[in-house]
Amino acid sequence: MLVLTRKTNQSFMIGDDIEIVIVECRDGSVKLGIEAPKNIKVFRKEIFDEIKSENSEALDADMNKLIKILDKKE
Amino acid sequence: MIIDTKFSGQIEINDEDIIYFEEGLLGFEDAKKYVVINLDEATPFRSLQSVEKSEVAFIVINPWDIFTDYEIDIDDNELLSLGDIDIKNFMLYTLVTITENRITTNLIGPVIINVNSRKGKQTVLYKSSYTTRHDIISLIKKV
Repeated sequence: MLVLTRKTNQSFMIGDDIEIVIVECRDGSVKLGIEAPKNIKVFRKEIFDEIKSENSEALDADMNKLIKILDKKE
Repeated sequence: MIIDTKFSGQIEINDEDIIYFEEGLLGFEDAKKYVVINLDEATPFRSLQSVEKSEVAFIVINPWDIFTDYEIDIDDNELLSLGDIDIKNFMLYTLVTITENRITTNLIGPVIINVNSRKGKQTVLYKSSYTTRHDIISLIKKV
């Protein structure tokens, strides 16, 4: 893993067309500005992890449970 | 060929029923081949069943059956990775989770399938305000 030190308003490049700017650094949080082509997906890793864990939960779903809940509702 | 399924016992499928997920589903990267199986006809639920691993099967719905105003914005490049973009070739499903007495669906991580190229992937709607758990129990009607 590459570790860089940057000051506020400095930036770094990932490849030729992705630029990350350090906008603000305060109270243990870093605000980043990201300039990237439209086709590059940028999202918080938590979303990714959340979907992963929801997929695992979804694996436990089965039709019997489902019908039981639906029947109870009626 | 005959495969073992999680919800429907053994069923016969044709090669052309198989949808190839190059990247698998998030957390299930090893299962690449799936079929969509109709379950109880009285409900909107189907199953996304792995051809290779019988225990890997998800209950899915077409979200527009329930959330008529569901909106998505998927990048063209992402759609192109599944073949030609022709809207009528695409199917979209969301995974269903059951926890205690709740039935929810994950509207932020839908599965898109190009039925023409028979390729699919799970996408992340990273700009949307949807969540992984939208209640659907009150919206489902048995027909």
